[in-house]
Formats: sequence, structure tokens, C-alpha cells
Amino acid sequence: MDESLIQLAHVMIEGLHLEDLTPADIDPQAPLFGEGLGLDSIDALELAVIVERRFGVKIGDAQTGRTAFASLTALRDHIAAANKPSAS
Amino acid sequence: MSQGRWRGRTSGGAVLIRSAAAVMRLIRQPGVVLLSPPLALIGLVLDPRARSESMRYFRHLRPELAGDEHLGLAWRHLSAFGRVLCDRMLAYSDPQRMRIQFDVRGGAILREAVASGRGCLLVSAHIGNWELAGQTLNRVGAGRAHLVMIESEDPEVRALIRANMGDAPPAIIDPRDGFAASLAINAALSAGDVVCMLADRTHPGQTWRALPFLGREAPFPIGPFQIAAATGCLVLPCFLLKRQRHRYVLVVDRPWSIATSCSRQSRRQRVDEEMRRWVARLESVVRSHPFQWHNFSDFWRPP
Repeated sequence: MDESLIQLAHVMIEGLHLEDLTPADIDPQAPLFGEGLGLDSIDALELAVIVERRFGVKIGDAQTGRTAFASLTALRDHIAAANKPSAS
Repeated sequence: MSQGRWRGRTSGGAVLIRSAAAVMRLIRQPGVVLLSPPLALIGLVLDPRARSESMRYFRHLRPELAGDEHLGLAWRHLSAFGRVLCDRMLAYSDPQRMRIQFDVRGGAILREAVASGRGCLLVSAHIGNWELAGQTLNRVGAGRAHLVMIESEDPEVRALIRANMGDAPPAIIDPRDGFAASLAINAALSAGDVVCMLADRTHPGQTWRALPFLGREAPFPIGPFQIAAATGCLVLPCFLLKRQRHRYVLVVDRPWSIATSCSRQSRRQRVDEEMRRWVARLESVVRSHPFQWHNFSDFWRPP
């Protein structure tokens, strides 16, 4: 796992209080919700709060949420894309 | 948030609602007062489920009474429910000239809470006429409101209800898609809006906790309180109570909040404490207004 994913995993573990997990336990390609990491809808809300407060990226609707929370890698890419300065 | 299917919701299509609304236009409030008791008597005979659930409720509330006395209370309970339904039909039939008056107790509390910008979660119950509460919120000047409620699958009924929610209707968040609902609730709270949730009924698939209510443990949904703990929003219990023939009062309690930064274990304890606080408040309102709690289901059975 590369450094950016490890850092994001730390943020997620700390923010969601997943005290039993380490970054190595999180498959960066596995779904965060449902059968993957097993997070539920309240965790989705909490993760949206964390992402907004920590990275300034709003996840306000289900479509964006399903894309951004598809996996740890997808979340990192979503945050990076949202924070990328526009070309203009 | 529930992924399960709720089968106990209010039935009746658009034709039924329009017909009832047309009848209400004709008979108005005096007719409601006259017709509610005999109609409730018919309901008592023809709807054994409503009768038995109401009697079960009164056995918990008034265990010292005998069976026939519980039946009498169930009749008064159904009459009161009928009058509330009629008020709703009046609202649907002629919202511009509707003669129902709304008072607000705690309006300043709500406006101050909204002004804090933290987001406000109004927790309410099937007490009085909670569907009319959405309209009342617009009159309080409480900012943009969102109601978490299961919408009718009938598009005509949906359109009818939305069309009669006042000039600034609250947004509806359907909880059946838990993931989408969670994100919508968070977006609303983070914008400083008001979100209203009912916290006195659990749906299949929903997480719940058993807490003592009217002398016996009953399941209550955890979701509203987990949301408050996750977002740091303010929690305000509120109830829309029927006072007199034409009059309702919206009661808004002082807000509280749940600590957000702590371990899962200690947060669970805080959520438990706040749920007990909510259930105690609900029980006090139910005891004060026993005929206004319209939760016709086996409330004490886990979902």
C-alpha cells in the first residue's frame, strides 16, 4: 500500500474509532461498505463528516458517495480530484 | 437507517384521500366532532388489530384497570386518532382556508438553535399530528426543514401530500435507502438546516436498543442519536399536540448535544444515556396525553 493510502487509512481508523484495525487490515480495493470492510450507513455519514472536516471535500449525495466510498483507493482519488486546482 | 420493508404504514390511495378530503369540506369540524365517536366504534369492531394494539398499550399505561375499561379507553383512543386524521384531511382539502390554528412553545429556542449553525435534529414521535408539524415548522421561521419519512409508493398520493405542505414545503428524505439517507441527512445538518426524525418506531433491519418504556423494555431506534453523536448537531425533542377542537401546539424542548470525540465504547454509552433521556421525555408526554400517541403496533416486540 502506498503512503497516501496508509495515511488515509489512519484517518479513517481514527475518525471512525475502528480500534481493532490497522491500515494493513484494509484492502485498498475492497468496498468500504457492505461485504468489504463492513461499515454501515451511520459510518457512511461519519466518514462524510470526516472527509469534509479533514480534507474540505463535501460528499452530499448518494451518487457521489457510492463512487467515493467504493474503496479506500477510490476515496483517495476522489479527495485528490476534488482538491486539484482548476486549470483556469 | 432501515434497509427493511415497513409494512405498517398508513394505507389508502389518492382516490381515498381525495374522497375523504371532499367529505371533510362538506362536514367541517362540527361534523368531525359528531362523527368521530360512532366511526371509532365501527373501527373498534372492524379493525381487530387496531383494537388489540390500543388495548395492549392501555394495559401497559393503566395496568390497574380491568379489560372492559381498556376497551373503553381504546374507543376514546381511536376517536382521538380519527379527529387527527380528519384535521389532516382538512389540511389536504383546503389548505388556504384551513381553520386549524397552530401555537408554538419553544419557537425562540428553535430559532436560536438554528442560528447556531450546528444543524438541528428534531426528534419526534407519533404523537398528535406529526405530519402537520412539517407545515408548522415553516411558520416558526426555523430555516429549511427536511422530514425523514417513508413516502407513499403511489405517485399521486406523493404529489398530493407534497402539494399540501405549505408555501415552503420541507424536503423529504426517504430512509429506505440507508446509505443515501445518511448522506442527505449529513448534507442538511452540515448546511445548518433542520432535520426531523421520528424516534418511537423501529423498522425491520434497523438497529435498535431495548429501553424501559411504560414499565417494560421496548425497542427504540438508535439512528437519530448516532447521527447526533457523529455530526455534533443539536438534538431537540419536539411534539405537535392537539389542544382543542381547532388548535395545535408545537412544543420544542431545549437542545442538547452528544460528545463526538471519544472512543466507540464511550460514545455508545453516551448514546445510551441520551436515548434514555429521550425515552423518559416521551413517556412523560405519553402519560400526559395518553390518547394522542398513535402507534398502533405491538410496540414492545422487537422488529
